[in-house]
Amino acid sequence: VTLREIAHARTGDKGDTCNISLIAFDERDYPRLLQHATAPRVKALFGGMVRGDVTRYELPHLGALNFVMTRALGGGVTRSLALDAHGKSLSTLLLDLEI
Amino acid sequence: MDGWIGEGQISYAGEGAVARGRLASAIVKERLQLIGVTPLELRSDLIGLNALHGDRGDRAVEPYEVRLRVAARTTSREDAWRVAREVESLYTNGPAGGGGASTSVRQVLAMRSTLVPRDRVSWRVDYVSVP
Repeated sequence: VTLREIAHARTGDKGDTCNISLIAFDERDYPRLLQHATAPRVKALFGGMVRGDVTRYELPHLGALNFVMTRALGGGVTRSLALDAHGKSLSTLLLDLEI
Repeated sequence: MDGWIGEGQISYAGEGAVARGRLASAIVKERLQLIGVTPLELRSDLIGLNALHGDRGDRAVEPYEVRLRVAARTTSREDAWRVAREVESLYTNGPAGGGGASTSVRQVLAMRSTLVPRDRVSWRVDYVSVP
């Protein structure tokens, strides 16, 4: 089973920093997000795509986590050579995390 | 200003499409060396395979068609065009069956996040009552 069974996600960007929100469909699944979607696991999942750090912020009142990834967008939207320069497709990679 | 980005794309389909796409990518890189273009940064993707999530997509089932995309940041506009043209040249000087080539060149505008002293920002708030 992967995260996509119990949560949805959306990506934002600011400069070379990418953030991905991970939101439980059902707030009762929030503890499972806490348990499985740890910063080191997310960092490992993204591998070479994130050259900086992955920091996890917890928002229990929303049943959500926010991951902030530095040096993750090829230098930022204006100079990135990536097809998806904003990194909007990265949310679906996070949802592939095995739980 | 932060240089130029030159980009070229071309598609391959059918049996061996991925292998031909990879070969085409290698040809472009070798050609750029031969003509003395050394980009500040170069990126080559096969759209449909690894353009969005990197190598992770390579585990997937081989797609019927792929689109090679080579993009490079260069210091000069002319070098950016050379990158784009080397992809287009694959029509007649690359793996079989390349189609639908496209090229583009654009100038890169640099952006930088910064803070300004608070006293340099003037602001005001108006309250309007609506009956």
